[in-house]
Amino acid sequence: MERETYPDATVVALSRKFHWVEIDRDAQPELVKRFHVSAYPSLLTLGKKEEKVHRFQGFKKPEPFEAELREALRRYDLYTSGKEWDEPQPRPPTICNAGTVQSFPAPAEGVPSGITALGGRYWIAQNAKLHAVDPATGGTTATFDLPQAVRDLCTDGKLLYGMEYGWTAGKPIHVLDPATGKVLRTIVTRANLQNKSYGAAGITWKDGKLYVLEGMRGILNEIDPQTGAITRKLDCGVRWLSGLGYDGRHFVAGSRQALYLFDAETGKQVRKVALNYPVRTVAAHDGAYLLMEQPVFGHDKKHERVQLWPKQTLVYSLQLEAER
Amino acid sequence: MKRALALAIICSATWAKDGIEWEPDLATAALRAAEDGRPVLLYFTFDT
Repeated sequence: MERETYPDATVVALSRKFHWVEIDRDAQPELVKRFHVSAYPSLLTLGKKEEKVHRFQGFKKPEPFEAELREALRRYDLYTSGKEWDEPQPRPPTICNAGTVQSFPAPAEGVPSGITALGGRYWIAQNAKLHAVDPATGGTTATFDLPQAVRDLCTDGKLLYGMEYGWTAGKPIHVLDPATGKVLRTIVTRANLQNKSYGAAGITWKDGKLYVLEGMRGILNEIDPQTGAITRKLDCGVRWLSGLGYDGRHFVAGSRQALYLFDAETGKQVRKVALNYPVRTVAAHDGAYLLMEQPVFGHDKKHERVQLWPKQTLVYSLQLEAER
Repeated sequence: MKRALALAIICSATWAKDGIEWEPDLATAALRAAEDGRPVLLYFTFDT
């Protein structure tokens, strides 16, 4: 920021409309605590009683940074005029415009961490719980405790597989009995034990193999489900993916802006469908894609961290229209 | 009078870096914001 953004002439000109204070987190931890700051850099525009008027975080180049400063000034004008200044940005009414969407409330309000379909039920992981849901009614028919929070679920048609986020660092895939929720065995990829970074973002089953998605890198790892050995790697050519499914022809993965279909043999992208909400977990079932959102968090006027979207956690079933 | 005096003292403490003029602390910035109506902007960082 100091090198690239602040010296920009337009940023300098806009900066004169504020009173800037630099807060080093280590020098003034009491302010970090008071304003609930957990990401750096964070820029907070305050009202007269220290209310949040505007807040954003992360490195930004001059142009998007200027847009944030202008938004802060727009909100501050509303604030000083006695008008509402903190309305959340409206969003489209549906997760996707390119098909038919049905939805029902998720079993819980926790962050979704996996969805799959098995035995006429949807299986949904949230907050280290595994829920079985009747897709016809949306009602929860069973809930089990998971041994560990998982990052995604899949099935081979008989059993469930719950993969930990730390699979990339040697954490296991848990093989679960859908009748009891118990762990039958674990699958560890020994080649990952020497790694330290966590980054597994999706798992699916195809033709007797497990496939684990490294979401940030867009790499699909084909895994022997007996030994955990990686037998092949496919580069999807798309980064920052989340959730993984297989629809019988293609792998499918989500992202903050789109749903991607990838060739099942090469891993290359064959279709990209724009989404209106960010997606965290994906499954394919019966000609439709099951999606759950990545929650969007922010801060209220008192700087408390709150979930902005969704207001209610939903399970979406998306029937894509044919590609034009 | 006291406020004007306080402002006169703290004005000298404002400093510039990377094109931005920085107030010395939140209390000073809030005082100046009350005077001229410009909002306070806090920049949280580390390793400064």
